[in-house]
Amino acid sequence: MSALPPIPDYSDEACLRGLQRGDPAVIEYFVKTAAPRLQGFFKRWKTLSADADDLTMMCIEKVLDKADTCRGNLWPWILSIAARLAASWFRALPPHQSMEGEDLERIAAWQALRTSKSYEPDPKAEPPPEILGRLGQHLAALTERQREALELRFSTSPLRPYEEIGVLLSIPTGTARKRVFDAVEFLRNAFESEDSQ
Amino acid sequence: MKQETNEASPAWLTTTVQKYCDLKKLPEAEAEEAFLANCQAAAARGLCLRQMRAERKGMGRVRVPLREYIEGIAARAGVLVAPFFEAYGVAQPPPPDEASARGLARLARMIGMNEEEVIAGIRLGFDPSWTEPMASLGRDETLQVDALRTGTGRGVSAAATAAIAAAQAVFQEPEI
Repeated sequence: MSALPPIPDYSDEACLRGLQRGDPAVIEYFVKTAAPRLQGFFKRWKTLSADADDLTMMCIEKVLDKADTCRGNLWPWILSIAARLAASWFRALPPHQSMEGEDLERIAAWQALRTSKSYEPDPKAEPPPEILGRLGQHLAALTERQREALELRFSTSPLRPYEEIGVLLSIPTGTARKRVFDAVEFLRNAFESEDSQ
Repeated sequence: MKQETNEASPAWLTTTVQKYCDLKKLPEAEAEEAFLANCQAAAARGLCLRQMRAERKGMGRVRVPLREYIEGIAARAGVLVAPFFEAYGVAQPPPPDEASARGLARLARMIGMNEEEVIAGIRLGFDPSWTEPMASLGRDETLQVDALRTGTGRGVSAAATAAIAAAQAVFQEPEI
């Protein structure tokens, strides 16, 4: 099992404040916990796999450089930076190279979902990095409670039941359901509103 | 476990949010020490960039080669510039080759310099006696503005033109 430090050592909010202050202990903790996650994020794309370490370092440098500009909601903000880096990397591929076929197929699978009316997620589908960047921005606009419930709901497969979310957050099941519903509605409207412009 | 359906969430959105949640999960494999050390160094560079950007705000424009300007900002901010030059591929000695110009331009952009300042700084690296067109107000001003922007024109070497083009390419990239 992983010997990495446990996640709740610093809350996201405390972590962000520490990064903004330049607190060495927080920075060390942040790097230890964020680096493997970001590395895994970039490695999900086969095209980026060989450069995942470099992209991770660039992302961490950027997070520390720009921490002052993050107004709460650390991880959605990090997602938007990581996604923009990935998109930029894809765009910079030399003409003789192109995105790996496997990545193209996964993005095509996501785009097929986007145009369908399906409610059945496809685990093989991969949203394009631009979409993940937009998601990061939209997530940052959710309330802390909505995002917390949304993350609990979507971080398991199959989706975590509302009863369990209610227990974890010490709230009634109906409240858990409402928070997730509101968050999903907000995200869906945000994407659709952008797409229609 | 019984699968629940959240009727409000279409499959594309569920899949997209799940990918975000994946980012927050710790991978089972531990990161290598050397990689983590490099990431700590990247974090330290990020902090230094903040200090350099703040220092630059109070310094403004100075007519020196770009490399010297960045070294000066770093010195005033009390940070080491060597880790940046290494990470950004800036080689010794000046004047900059294409790769070094690209690295210097990236660094310059991150501390808040604009494209024209960077190009002027690179030109000064090749020709310290070169006079910036806005300051010279000479007869050849139009030609010099063109030279500043494109790297072509009277007295610009092929090496300087290549370095300027590399620096300009940096400013074509979207800012992250």
